[in-house]
This record gives sequence, structure tokens and C-alpha cells, in this order.
Amino acid sequence: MNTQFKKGVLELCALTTLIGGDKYGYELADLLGRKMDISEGSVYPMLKRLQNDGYFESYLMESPNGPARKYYRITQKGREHQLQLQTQWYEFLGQVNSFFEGVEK
Amino acid sequence: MKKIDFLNELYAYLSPLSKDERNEILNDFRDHFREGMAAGKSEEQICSELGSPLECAKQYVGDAINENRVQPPKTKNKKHSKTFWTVALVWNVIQAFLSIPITLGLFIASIVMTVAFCFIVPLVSSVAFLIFAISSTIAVFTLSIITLLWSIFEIKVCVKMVNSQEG
Repeated sequence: MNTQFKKGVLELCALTTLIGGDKYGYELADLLGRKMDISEGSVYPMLKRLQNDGYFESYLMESPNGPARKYYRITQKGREHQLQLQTQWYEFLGQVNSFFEGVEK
Repeated sequence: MKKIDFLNELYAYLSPLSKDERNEILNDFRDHFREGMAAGKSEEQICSELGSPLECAKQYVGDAINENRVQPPKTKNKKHSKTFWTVALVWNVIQAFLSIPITLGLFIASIVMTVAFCFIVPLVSSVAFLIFAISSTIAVFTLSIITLLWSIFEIKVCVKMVNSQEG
């Protein structure tokens, strides 16, 4: 699949996941890696990018075993961005689907 | 690919970034390896799931990346791996065993010298010879103790390093 397209979708998925609650890096990478056909290594650059854009903020929290984990929390700006991307996604989906309907008729 | 190779390669490809940025990025990946291994994955499996270090680095650096394989950075205080210290430990234990004849030999020699000099010194009755007898006996005895302590010290250091190194 197109890399740029995938990148955008991956961002939407990460933003949406974080709306459900804060997650640490490995948790996100593992989840996205299992659900989507991506290299888990691309999750970390994306997290950094979204953080630089102000959609996420990170904080350290003790873990029951081992050193502190870096958690990501979605910001208000991130929530707005997620909503925007989600709307775009449905619009896009609707446009593509209209072609399928055309063929079936 | 092993964890250390992945991290070294990634670090090298990130060379256009500042040292702080590179270390921060590397910490994210180190954490990823630690969590993955705690979840029972092998280093090779984690590496294949992460994708290539070059592709990861490209997403930080952009297309300005130097794709020619950059030499892994040579850090001054490079820590040795657990494997290194385990090998060192085994080697030192073997050395300690091999040096037993020397340690024991020197120790026995010092006892024999003490006994022998007890007989010879009254016969010679010279102050110079007495001093020679005492100092040489002490020297041989000290040498045997130093050999013993050194072996113990080396083994102790290796055990400590094996325990303190991760991966």
C-alpha cells in the first residue's frame, strides 16, 4: 500500500487508540503492529512527530517491574485533529464506495 | 539481527541529528527491546517486527539520510556485553585453576625456606645472611598470597559485571 497513505492512517489509528486511554510506547507499537501490516519501528518516529505537533504529550510513570515507562497522553489539539482525520476518512471511504456501487448496478 | 546491531546501525544513520535527539530516540528503541524481551520475544523476532534500522532512521531524518553504511559510532566508554563478561569469567576461573600449582608451589617454597633457614642461619651466623633469609622468605610468601588474591579479585569483578550488564 502507498507509504504516505499508510502513514496518515497509522496516525489516525494512534490518535484514536489514545482517546481510549494513555498508553506506553511498546504497548502502542505492539497493538498497531498486530492489527495493521506495518513495521513497528515506524510507530516511534510517528509518536515523536505527533508529539512535536502538539497532539500528544509524554510523561514517565513507574512500572511494576523494571524502569519507568514513557506514556503518551492525547491533548485537546490531538482530539480535534483526530476528529478531523476521522471525518476525512469517512468522506474518503464514501467516495470510494460510490464507485463500487456504480459497478454493481 | 541482534539488538546491539540494530541499535548501533540506527544510531549511525541518525548522525545528522544532535546527540541529545539521537539518545532520546535510541532510548525509545531500547525500551521497546526490553519490553519485547520481557514478553518472551527473541532479539531477532523484535528486530524483524521493527523493520530495518535504515527505514526507521529515514522517518526521523528524512531523505537527507546518508544511505552509505555509516560505521557504527565508537563511543569512548563502550560497555562490554554480558557475553563478554561471561567469557571473561570462565577464562579467569580456568586461569585460577591453572595457577594453583604456582600459588601452592610458592606457598610450600616459603615454608620450606623458613624451615631450611632455621637450620642454616645458626650455622652461618652472619647478619647479612639472616636478613637475606628473612627477606627472601617473605618475598616468596607474599608472591603466593598476591597470586591467590589476584585470582579471587578477577573472578569477583567478572561475576559483578555479568550480573550488572543487561543483554
